[in-house]
Amino acid sequence: MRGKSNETWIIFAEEVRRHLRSGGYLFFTVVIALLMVAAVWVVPLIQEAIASDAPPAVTGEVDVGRIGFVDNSGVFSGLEGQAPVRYGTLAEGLEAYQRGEIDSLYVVADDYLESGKVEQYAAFKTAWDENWDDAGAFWGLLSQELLAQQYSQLSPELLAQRAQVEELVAEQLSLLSPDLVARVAEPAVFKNFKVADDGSVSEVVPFAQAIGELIVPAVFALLLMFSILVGVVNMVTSISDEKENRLAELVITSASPFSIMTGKLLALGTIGLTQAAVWVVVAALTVPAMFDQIPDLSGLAIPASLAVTILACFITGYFLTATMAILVGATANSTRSASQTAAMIANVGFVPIWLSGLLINQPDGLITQLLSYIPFTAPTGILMRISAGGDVTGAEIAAALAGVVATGLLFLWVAGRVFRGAMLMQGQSFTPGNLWTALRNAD
Amino acid sequence: MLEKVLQVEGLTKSFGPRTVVNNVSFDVRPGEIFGFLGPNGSGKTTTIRMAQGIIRPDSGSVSILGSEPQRSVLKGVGYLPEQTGLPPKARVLDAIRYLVRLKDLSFTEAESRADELLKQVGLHEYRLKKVDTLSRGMRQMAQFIIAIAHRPELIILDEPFSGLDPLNVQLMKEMLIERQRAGATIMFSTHIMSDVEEMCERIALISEGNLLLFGNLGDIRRERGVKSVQVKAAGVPDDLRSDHLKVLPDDTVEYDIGEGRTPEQIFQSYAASGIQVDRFERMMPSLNDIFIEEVSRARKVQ
Repeated sequence: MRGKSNETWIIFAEEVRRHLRSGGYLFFTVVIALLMVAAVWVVPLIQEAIASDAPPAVTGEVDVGRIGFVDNSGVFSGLEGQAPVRYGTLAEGLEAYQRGEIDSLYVVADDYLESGKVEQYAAFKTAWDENWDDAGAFWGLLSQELLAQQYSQLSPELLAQRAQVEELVAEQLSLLSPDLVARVAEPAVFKNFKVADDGSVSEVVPFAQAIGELIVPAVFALLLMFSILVGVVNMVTSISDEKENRLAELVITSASPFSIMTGKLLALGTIGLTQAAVWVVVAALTVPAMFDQIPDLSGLAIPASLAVTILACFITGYFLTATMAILVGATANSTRSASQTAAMIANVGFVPIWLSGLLINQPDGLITQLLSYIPFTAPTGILMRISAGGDVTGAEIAAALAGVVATGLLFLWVAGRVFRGAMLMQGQSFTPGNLWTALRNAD
Repeated sequence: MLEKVLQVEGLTKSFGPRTVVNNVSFDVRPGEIFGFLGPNGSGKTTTIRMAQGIIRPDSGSVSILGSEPQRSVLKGVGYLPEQTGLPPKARVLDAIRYLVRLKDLSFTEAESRADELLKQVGLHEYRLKKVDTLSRGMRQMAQFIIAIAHRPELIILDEPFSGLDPLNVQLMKEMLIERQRAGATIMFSTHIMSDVEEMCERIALISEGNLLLFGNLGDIRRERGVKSVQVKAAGVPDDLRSDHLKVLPDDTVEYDIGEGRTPEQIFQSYAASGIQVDRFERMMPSLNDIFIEEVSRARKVQ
């Protein structure tokens, strides 16, 4: 037994050394980390770009003389003779627009007071262009005109009294508690509780936490799959290469198939987790800095239970896919065919990500549930289901991941025997019949 | 002490419809250098793999170091495969140390022996280079180091001299003899007869998967009798001037034996003619002659 663990350790150390020196592994690890660091600078830029699309505001820089309007409601007679140009009909307005006399034309609906509808005619040069400057300016004009109409209906005495009262109130308020003043400005900070049909009450998660629960699992599901893809291809080609260049002949005379497979598997797991650890550390350093710059996410929190789930999905997902890779490497006739098959098996885990549209709409639907239970898709399926807001209990997660581990162990046992059997039966192609023979005869 | 370090009995292996090893039996004795001969594709490598349990025979049995070929026993065997089996992207020292450690040597011991042997074969300066930067001969020497570094009782080498320059061939032979003197048994396969004649006392010859010859090389040659007679003399007796005569570069005359002509008759002719004879030698068939004769005969039969 001591010998076996020693063989496993030697093979593990060699595999780790080989992977760490692999260009693809180092490149992928570093590139993802660099992207996270770059995001600290890029996200504020995106945020700034989004901010430029903010709701309308009258800046005073807009030349309202180049805004035209048609008032079908008859409410805005006060705008007569002011800077925006009034037109009698839409056709007249559009003619003026085409002559280049105005940049934007607004048509106020005849039921404006009830509906608030205003049609906007402008260039709209891109899909993202909402003509905010002119719209904001016209919005402000409408608002001023409506307020003016309101106040014009009050008596001058009343308006004078109102001004005096407002002055007195401001004076008194400055003497009051700042907390009270603040509360007056924002009388309630709501904490929301959901009352279900059965009467049960649960807290509705705050926005920042909800974002954390949505984005973080999805991002880790993707990272898990990319990490697996790189690791699995390395593992399969390593095993297949060993078979092709006869290194396996030397190793198999010194170590048991189980030791070989376990050593390789532990190595693949270690380098995968090392890769993930690098990303998590870089994320821990960069993500808070990134979120601090987004007001709604500054209070982002990742619950401990979610962190544990992500870690468990990562480890078990890696374990199962790695054992599948080993099995493929053991049965493949050439490195080329092994690499092709490896890419296919690694993609099985991507299925829940491909079906994310379905998962988001039906986070607890039958297919979504199946994807989170089937061992091959469960690790990413669970993360995507959580991400979609599905109701996944701890027990469900534990059971699904136990299934993943059990399947992985079975594959590991089969892979060890097939690896040995493949060599014992060298020269024969694999068929279900001789695969069974290999399983029985390998030692 | 074991009487037979390796014994194979009735080994047979087919790949699909083709029988590549057919009922082969031979043994290797402790302390000897054993030659395993055969033309390309004769089944040598398959037999060697079966002897180590790397592939399973369809029938027959193997006893290696007194046991079935199992891992605990195979730790005492050093193996040089025909095709270099080194991870191409690994550094030479790492690759050697890795495979030697699997033979139960500690990290330090494996590294120290690898270092020592790399120096001995002149590859020490390449120890930190990647395997795929080495020439074929260099890779073969690195692989050879893996086969002997753990000082195994039995060293099995599959075509060890292929791809090596004459200097490295000589160096490898000297190192093998060194291991033999230290008590190791050596078996190597080849189709180069001069290597076998130089190093081996006993041989096995297979062709098309069938064992053609097995035993002591001297006995095998003697069994075939005298092939020719070489005479260095001042002239040639009249009665011996015939088509069966060949003049060698140093004016030595070689007479084929057979068709009623015996070495004794040739000697008597010289004695009767009074020609002065400086050298008279009965020539045994070379291993090369035996190899060609046996393999050709086997192929004709098939």
